[in-house]
Amino acid sequence: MNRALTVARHDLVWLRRDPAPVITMLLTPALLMFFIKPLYVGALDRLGYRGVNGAELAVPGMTVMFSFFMAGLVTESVFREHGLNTWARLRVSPLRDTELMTGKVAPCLVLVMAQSCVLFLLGRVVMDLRVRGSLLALLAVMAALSACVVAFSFLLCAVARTRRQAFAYERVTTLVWVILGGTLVPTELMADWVGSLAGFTPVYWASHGYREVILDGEGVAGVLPHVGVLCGFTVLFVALAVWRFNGGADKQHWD
Amino acid sequence: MTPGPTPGPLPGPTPGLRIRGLVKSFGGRRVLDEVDLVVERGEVVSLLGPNGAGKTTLVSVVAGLLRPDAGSVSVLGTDVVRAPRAARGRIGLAAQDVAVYPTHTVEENLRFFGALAGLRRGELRTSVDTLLETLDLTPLRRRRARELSGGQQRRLHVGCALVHRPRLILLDEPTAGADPQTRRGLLRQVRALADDGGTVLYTTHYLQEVEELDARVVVLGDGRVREDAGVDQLIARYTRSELVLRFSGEAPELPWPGARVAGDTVFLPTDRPGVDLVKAVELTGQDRERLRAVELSRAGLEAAYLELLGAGRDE
Ligand SMILES: Nc1ncnc2c1ncn2[C@@H]1O[C@H](COP(=O)(O)OP(=O)(O)O)[C@@H](O)[C@H]1O
Ligand SMILES: [Mg+2]
Repeated sequence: MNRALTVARHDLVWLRRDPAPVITMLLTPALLMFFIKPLYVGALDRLGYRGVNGAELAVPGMTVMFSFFMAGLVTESVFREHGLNTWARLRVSPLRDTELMTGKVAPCLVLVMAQSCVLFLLGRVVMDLRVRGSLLALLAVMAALSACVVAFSFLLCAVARTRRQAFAYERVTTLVWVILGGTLVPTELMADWVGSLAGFTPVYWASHGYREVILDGEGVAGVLPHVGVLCGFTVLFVALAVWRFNGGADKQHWD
Repeated sequence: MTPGPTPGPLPGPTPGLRIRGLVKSFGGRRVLDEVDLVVERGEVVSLLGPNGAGKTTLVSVVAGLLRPDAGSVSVLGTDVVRAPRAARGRIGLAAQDVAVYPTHTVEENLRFFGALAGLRRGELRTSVDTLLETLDLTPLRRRRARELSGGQQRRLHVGCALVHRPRLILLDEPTAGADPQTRRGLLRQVRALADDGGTVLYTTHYLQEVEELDARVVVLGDGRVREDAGVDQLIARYTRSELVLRFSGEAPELPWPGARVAGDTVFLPTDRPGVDLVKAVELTGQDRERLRAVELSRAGLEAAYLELLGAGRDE
């Protein structure tokens, strides 16, 4: 696993030297949260919550959505290796596929966690977000969501043949999930058929896990089902990715 | 660089590289068609052949990056077709296209690949420092690869293939686009690796390099090994040397098979320059008074190579 660490550290240097993509992934959701917050006051009222200011939905909503957009960091770092011809180098080195992919996704896991923490802190400080439940439960949802995002990014790397494909799959999937999963508009306020599909998206379980903690004051026990389902999605994505992954495949950065 | 005495290959229990009956097709077209090749440890083999001859394909198969359709490839005694990973870490590949990280410094690039191969701390530092020195990159060590010139990038590219001290070294056109100084440094490095017991397979289009290295030459053409010989043997087989006689004033006609006259110079083809030199001077007779200089013009590998390719085409 020493070698996985070497890969992870190497990628972190790359990210540090051009931090713009990571910064964008913090600034954009922060701005969106801020502008979208007042819209949620009415929605929360219809759901029966009193004494709220909209941040209860705006902060976790944007956090979940942009967590999945972070999957792009992993796909970029993998397809970049193909573009730079360094993938062949890695394949001639003693690095195993598991070590390589562990090294590739590990920084993303840390960054998604960090992104969520920063956005929640910002919500707390700037938008007066009040969490009624336990902080530990909040962190549990966060961790499970981050694992799920990383597994999703691994799956994207395994199925896409070019960087542009990976990007297209990532955006389409995330946006569909975000809409169906009730991250933008709570499922209760959408058509019934949407509600019945929502449970099939990881985004729904992340959003509702956060809702349980923030609005319903739940503790760790209250979010166990949500964390469990997110872990299930993680296992599913990893399994599919391992099944489809072929390190010897001829992939392109540009095509 | 004057080619010193070439230390012969050190025949170990197993050769550094053994290829038998290698076949590789792309879309029904046979790029490699029953290629056989053995490279002993301590030997440098120059792989020549026109564009599209299959040199890069051959190198990729040996590196375990491509699966052959048939045949066997054994690297340092390990069958890499059956177990493509078994030889990983003992192979150093500098592929045809430069593969370095533009965002990382020269030193970071080298350290990364060294660390992946399992070098640690002191060992890694020594290897990186030595390589920076031999490849003339020490002053550039903190420069990002993005900022290097093409030739400097290629040196770094070769360095990344050597940092873990591999025993089989595959260099696919390592000197393409390099300046004469860089080329010289790289060649010195290649020779040193072989002298150290490494097995080197090296493709190039610069025949002068091959002569300087005094390498064994393997020529690929139409997917097969067309020639496999030393530089001298190839030159002897495909070209003839010439005695060059220069006169003051018009050169005389000499009764010599294949003689050419151009102004004040006569060219006499020869296979035995020593014996023929005396004979030629005797033949000049009374023109000997006007004889200014006698030289031996040795045909080069390039002439031999072009002749060889031409011969292949006429078949
Ligand atoms: N991945 C590939 N797919 C299809 N054809 C290929 C591929 N790689 C190489 N070829 C073909 O195989 C032939 C040999 O290529 P290559 O080994 O690169 O030659 P060389 O390195 O001697 O110039 C060329 O005609 C090339 O077009
Ligand atoms: Mg080539």
